[in-house]
Amino acid sequence: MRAKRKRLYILLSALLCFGGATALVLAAFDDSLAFFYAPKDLLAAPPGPQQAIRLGGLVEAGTLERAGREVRFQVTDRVESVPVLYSGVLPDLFREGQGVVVEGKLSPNGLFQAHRVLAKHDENYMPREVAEALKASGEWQPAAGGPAQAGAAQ
Amino acid sequence: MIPELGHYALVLALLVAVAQTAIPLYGAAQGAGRLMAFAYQAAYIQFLLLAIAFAALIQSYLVSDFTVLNVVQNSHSLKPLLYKLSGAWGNHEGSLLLWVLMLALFGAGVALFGGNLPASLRARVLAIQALIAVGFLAFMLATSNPFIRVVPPPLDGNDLNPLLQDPGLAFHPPLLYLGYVGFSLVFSFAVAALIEGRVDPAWAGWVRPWTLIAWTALTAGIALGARWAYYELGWGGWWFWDPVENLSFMPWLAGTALLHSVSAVEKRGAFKAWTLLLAILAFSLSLLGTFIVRSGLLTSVHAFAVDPERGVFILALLCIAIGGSLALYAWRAPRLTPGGNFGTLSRESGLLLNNLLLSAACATVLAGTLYPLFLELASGTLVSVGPPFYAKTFVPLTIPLLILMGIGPMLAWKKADLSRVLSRLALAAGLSVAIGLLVAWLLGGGAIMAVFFLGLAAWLVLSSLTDLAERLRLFRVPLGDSLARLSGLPRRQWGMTLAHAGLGIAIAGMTASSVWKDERIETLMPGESMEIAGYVLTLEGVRRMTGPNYRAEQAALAVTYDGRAIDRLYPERRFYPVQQMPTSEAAIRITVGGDLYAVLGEGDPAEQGGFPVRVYFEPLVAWIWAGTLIMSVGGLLSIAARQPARRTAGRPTAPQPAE
Amino acid sequence: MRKSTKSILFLLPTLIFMAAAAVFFLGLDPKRDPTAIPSPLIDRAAPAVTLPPLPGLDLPGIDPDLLKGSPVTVVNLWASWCAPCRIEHPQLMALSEDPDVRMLGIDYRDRADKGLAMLQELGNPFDAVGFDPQGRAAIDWGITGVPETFFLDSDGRVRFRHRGPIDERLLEKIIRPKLEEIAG
Repeated sequence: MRAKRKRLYILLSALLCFGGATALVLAAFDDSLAFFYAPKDLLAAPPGPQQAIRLGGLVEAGTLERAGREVRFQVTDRVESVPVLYSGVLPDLFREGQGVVVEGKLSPNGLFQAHRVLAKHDENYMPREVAEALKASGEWQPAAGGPAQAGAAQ
Repeated sequence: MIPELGHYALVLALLVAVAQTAIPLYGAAQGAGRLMAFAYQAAYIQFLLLAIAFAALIQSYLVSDFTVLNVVQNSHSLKPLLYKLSGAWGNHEGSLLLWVLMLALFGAGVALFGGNLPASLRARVLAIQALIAVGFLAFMLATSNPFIRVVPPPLDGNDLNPLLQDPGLAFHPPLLYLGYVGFSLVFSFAVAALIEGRVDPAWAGWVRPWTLIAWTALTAGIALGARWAYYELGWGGWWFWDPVENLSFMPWLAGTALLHSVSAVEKRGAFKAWTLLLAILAFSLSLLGTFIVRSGLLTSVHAFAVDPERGVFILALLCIAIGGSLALYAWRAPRLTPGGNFGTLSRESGLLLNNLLLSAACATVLAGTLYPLFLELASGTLVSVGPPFYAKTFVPLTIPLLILMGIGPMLAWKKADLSRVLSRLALAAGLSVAIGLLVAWLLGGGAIMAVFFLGLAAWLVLSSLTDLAERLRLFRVPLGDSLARLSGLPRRQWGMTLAHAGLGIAIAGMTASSVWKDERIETLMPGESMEIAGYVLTLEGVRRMTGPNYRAEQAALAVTYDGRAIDRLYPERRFYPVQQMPTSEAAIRITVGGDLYAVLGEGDPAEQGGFPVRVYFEPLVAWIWAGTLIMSVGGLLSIAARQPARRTAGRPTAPQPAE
Repeated sequence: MRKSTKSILFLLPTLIFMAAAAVFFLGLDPKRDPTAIPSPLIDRAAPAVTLPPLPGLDLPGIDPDLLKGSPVTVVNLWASWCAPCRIEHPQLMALSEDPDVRMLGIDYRDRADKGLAMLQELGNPFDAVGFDPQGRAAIDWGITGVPETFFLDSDGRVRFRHRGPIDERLLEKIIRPKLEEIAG
């Protein structure tokens, strides 16, 4: 009888731990995932202003403007482009015409407020999400081998 | 000639490994001592051959032999010596060779120190260890040979990724592999035990030190990796919940659980089947780390070259190793004799709860790491799981774990008196709450969770000290007696106290630096100043300079506090022409209270009105490194502990510490 | 616990692992592999890019007119710092002996003196070499890295592309038949 009770306790605590973990995971999946968008998708189905998202594409050539710490540029998938506002120091390898992922929120006026900019950190490397998005828009510059490094600035 | 020698040694090592698998297993099944004894001779030869292969690769790097493709791709004649060396394992092929070398090192370790193991167990452990080596050597020779030549050779190499040219990172992978591979040996012990159908306290006594070696190396390796990210990436953070970081963290969590459950097997014969499962899982998670990083299944900030063909090979290896051992487990484990009985309130039940919580926490990390992959395959949606996810899943699960960590070590085996333990811990608990309230009052309220975690950190340190004081009977017997007890205290007790208290210190650092981090970005002309956390930084000037394989711009920032000049920081922006890659070298002033962290940004001063300077104040970061160091020292002390299992068998013992 | 329940419990880890392994295997599906995705340029006109000649080499640069006209035009992106490019160089030399093939090279993210030195050392298979120190070609041609080679028909359409070095076996088994097919 005692052994049976003990087994019940063990089973209950196992259920509690893993049940609790599952509940936490499911709740967190609901509200803390950053979905990835290409400019085309972003304009086709804009997310809510509170939704944190990642926007990936190429930094459109000729659109980079700096004003003190504020930086404006456009992210493009060669189909659509989205204006981005970011204040802070850009990552080392941020360049016009190269792959970039920005994290932030889309304002109702269509301006993307970025709080984090990730640029590719290696010749051969492009964040895979960007490659996928460019592939989808027919503008493909895939990621190859080589030591991959993505840099970020916050 | 030297690379061919290395290549040849690899092929021989594969052949030896095949023999080391087959002959001892057959011998153990037949009870033939001579055949079993072959295992340890083979283990030495295997280690020797792989050491030759590794030395050959190192030699190729040292002399910059650009006829070797691997050297061409990862080295450069102008690179500093340390990075020529670390370049040898800073890439896929070389790191794999290091991996296999360590596998053989552990095998040789068992052959050398395993003299007191039953012959059949030792033979089987070495055979399984060799079987893992067979898989990895075959993989290496088939897809990732580091000794491939280039004809005609180029004049110079491609250089190592500059971000990897960091002293911390030179030693981070070897430590990490030591940890991963250490679990391979525990895995071999588990599989051998399943074949033998026997798990007893003596088995746990042999497994425990190897588990500790792996755990200690992994602890130090993860901490070094975090330090590297902190110093080199220039983002002022030390942990990003990046897939690669998670993949090293999961074996650590499983290994920590294993460490505790092995102790229950050793002392009480409890949780046998569960311990075997954990041993298999700890190594499986290590393999998973190797697999996912190299197959390109997940993207990461620090990843090796991606090659799906290799991925298929490794997946096959994984299926054989993990699938095979789990199937063996499903078949053999139910037949293990049940372990010792224990009360609902006992050290055993505390360890059980610890194991459940650690496993659940590990499962949340696994879910967060793999979910993007699953979602993409199921619906094509790309999603990233970042720190907020872990803050909502992993972090809450650690709360009961940390509370329990203070209580568990003071519970007696078999049946514990909880109210007595709690009354002894009342002082520690009261002080922890007081410290939490004091912090909250000093900061004027604010982040409740952070205050709570600082209280938990204090609780860990104070409860560990309470446990120590209890064992010394401090203030209850004359001080001299306590001191005498202090010198007689077993090393494993010290190990546990240090590991628990070290974690407390590290958690204080993690909490403070994540929550109260301050950041300022300004563009400064020479002579202009900025202020952060009471410090005033003045840009004195920016000069150009040349390093061995890079060019740099170096800023000089004078630091004053309260009007007193206290330091000068020199952040750099480097440009590595061979890899056409710029990097930032942060300048950091380290103090106990917090780090002042300065980065020189990119930009044209004429156009933007100054040099962009980014400064962080990171409170208590040094505590993370100190805490993890203390944990590693605790691990080392426990490894060095004598094994009391056989000495004290049958004799009633005083409450023994868990790890 | 009954015996059957118990054995199912012990079988559980194996089952979970098998499910996860199946997902990993799907994840390794070559179609998902970024490097196996066909170029969007296939059967489309090659990008009309003009690149200046490689300084010091007495050959023209890349010009959109050069992409058409020859039965087969091969566009190879290379660099002196790229080890695999050296491996494939003899195969390019062999290709250049075919009179139906026009060989165009793009020296990608390189220094002019080093690029020139490599051609002098290993021989020059090209009829024209464009110099691309900024790496513009990465975007225009959609390349992944060097070396990468495109095969164009007489209308200047991309018919085939190969990523990575062309070794001897590949040259005979795949590239030569492709050339015949393209030349018609």
